[in-house]
Amino acid sequence: MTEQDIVSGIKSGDQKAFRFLVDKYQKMVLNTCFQFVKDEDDAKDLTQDVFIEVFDSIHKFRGDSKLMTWLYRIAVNKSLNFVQRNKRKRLFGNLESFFSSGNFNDESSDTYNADKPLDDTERSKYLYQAIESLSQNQRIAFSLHNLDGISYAQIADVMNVSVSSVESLIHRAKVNLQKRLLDFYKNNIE
Amino acid sequence: MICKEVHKKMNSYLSEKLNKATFNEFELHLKDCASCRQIISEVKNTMTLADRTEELSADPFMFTRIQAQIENRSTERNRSWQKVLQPIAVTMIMLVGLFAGVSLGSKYYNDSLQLNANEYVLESEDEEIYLNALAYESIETFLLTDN
Repeated sequence: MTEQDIVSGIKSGDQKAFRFLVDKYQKMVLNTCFQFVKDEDDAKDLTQDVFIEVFDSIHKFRGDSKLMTWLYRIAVNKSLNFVQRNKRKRLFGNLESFFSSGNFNDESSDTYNADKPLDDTERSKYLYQAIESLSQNQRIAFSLHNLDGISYAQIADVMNVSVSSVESLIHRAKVNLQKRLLDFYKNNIE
Repeated sequence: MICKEVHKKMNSYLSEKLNKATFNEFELHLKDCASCRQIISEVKNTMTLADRTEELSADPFMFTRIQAQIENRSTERNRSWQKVLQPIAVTMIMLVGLFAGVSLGSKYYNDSLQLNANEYVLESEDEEIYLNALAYESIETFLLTDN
């Protein structure tokens, strides 16, 4: 089934075409969302939302870009919105706990225990916090770059920028991550 | 080199931008200082994780779940229409009932008025006295008379 067959099939209400699309691109969408939210259940929920969005707005797809690029864009947008909503929720949760108990219960600023050796789960948590603090474009480029089998050209298509911009964004993201991690560990290991 | 200097040069060290002499001094400090060594090693270990891709496998029930959600959504949409339409329909029925009641009642009232005004004609003076007894003979006068 070609890309055009899938699109025209879904537009005409063919369930087989929609099933084919879900089966073919599910893993790609799931892992894209996972790069941003870092939680398997949330990534699965977002994947569902992405395909429902595709089902609802397939008539808007004019074929100017590849179907895969369009899917990546929806997945990235949905994931970023989810992360933003979560941040706001966390902030309100912290304000609520501050007003009820007088203390901030900020999960995002976990403290480092210098006496206990770190494991990869904890390191991943600090890394994710550092990634969250990157600028949006650096974050998108860096997260997509970590996906298996995606080229710089594809990332450039998704982000609507040139390949050289993608390279520069990824480089700056790595430099900034290193700086942020250095600051974090310097402040916590003394 | 003291810790403060090393801290300042850590980023350049990790990005391999130090000149040979400074690099050697830096390495010498790391050999003796456990905390600086730990910082460098944690940053390196954490950055390695960034390059490691954790891949999730496809969910075999994804399509079924998506399909169920689309169906649920259309049922919910119908229900939400029901929620909006039901009070409107009830209000409309009540208004129609009220309007019908008022128009029927006023029609009957007008008919009865028309009947009194048009159809009942006094036939004689006796009848008028009989019907308007109080006007012609007050109650006090009636009680004062003997017969």
